[in-house]
Amino acid sequence: MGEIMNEFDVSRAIFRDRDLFSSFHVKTTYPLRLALSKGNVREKNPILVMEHNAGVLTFLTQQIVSHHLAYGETAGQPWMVIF
Amino acid sequence: MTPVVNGQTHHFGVRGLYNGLLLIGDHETGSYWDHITGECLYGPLKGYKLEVFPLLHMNVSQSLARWPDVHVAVSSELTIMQRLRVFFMGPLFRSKWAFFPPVVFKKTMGKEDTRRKRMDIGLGVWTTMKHCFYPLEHLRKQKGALNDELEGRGILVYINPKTQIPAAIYTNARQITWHGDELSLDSGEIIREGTVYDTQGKTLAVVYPMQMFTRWYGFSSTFPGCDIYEV
Repeated sequence: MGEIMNEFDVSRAIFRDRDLFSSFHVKTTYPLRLALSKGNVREKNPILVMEHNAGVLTFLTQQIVSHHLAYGETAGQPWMVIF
Repeated sequence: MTPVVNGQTHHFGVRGLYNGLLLIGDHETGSYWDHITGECLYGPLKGYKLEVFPLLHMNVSQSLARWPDVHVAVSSELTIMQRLRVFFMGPLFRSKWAFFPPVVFKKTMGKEDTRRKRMDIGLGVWTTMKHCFYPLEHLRKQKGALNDELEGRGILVYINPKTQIPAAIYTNARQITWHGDELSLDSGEIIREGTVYDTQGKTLAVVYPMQMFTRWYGFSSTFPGCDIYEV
């Protein structure tokens, strides 16, 4: 099927001028292997994987479900994850 | 996503709802953006588009098999309300009896695409020109793996046996065979725990199309008129 683009209907959008959830500002990361060996995570814990220009980074799915948005910088490159 | 517009980093938060989906807003201009496509839908930056990347679902052991030195970001900033919300609502929303979220969400929906049930779950895969929804139900009918094409490029869509979450990768393989929890491709590669190995057992880099494990209403409202993989 071809593209069927709908115009944005502002009448049914809900806008807020402040953040609805507390975003996760990522300032520090840890080796996942270390987190596993320390028992902070378990092998079957679901995670989200971001493969970005600056590299790969993982997040605990449950935490991103709560925050909805995480952001940070890796090797000087900003990134953002939304779920 | 890369939150950069015209070379400037912008700061975003969840700031709205549209089509039953979250809208993100940038603090710098007050514009509102689609969090799936990265397109600015309303505001001073309407028409701009952020660079987007797939967000993959795995478990800890699978990601370490693929990227042994990968890092994890762990939040200590969750509010009590956020923790309670996930604790109570999460299992309900993930269950097969999942109901549509609060009434306020439905008020933001337009005319629904009724080709599938609203809360039907599957993998949405897309390129600039092609958008296709692979219902989990149809993937299971195909024994958990199938070949398809996306703008002339071969893709494999499969259900990870451990997580039961579908994923898509680009591949030229045409024949696929399950051996227990391992998927063998006629190109000689093997997919095990979400990682692709060559015939020597060496890990291979994988290219993923843009994809999202999602409900039908979310994918069909983002990509109106999308294709559905039928069996």
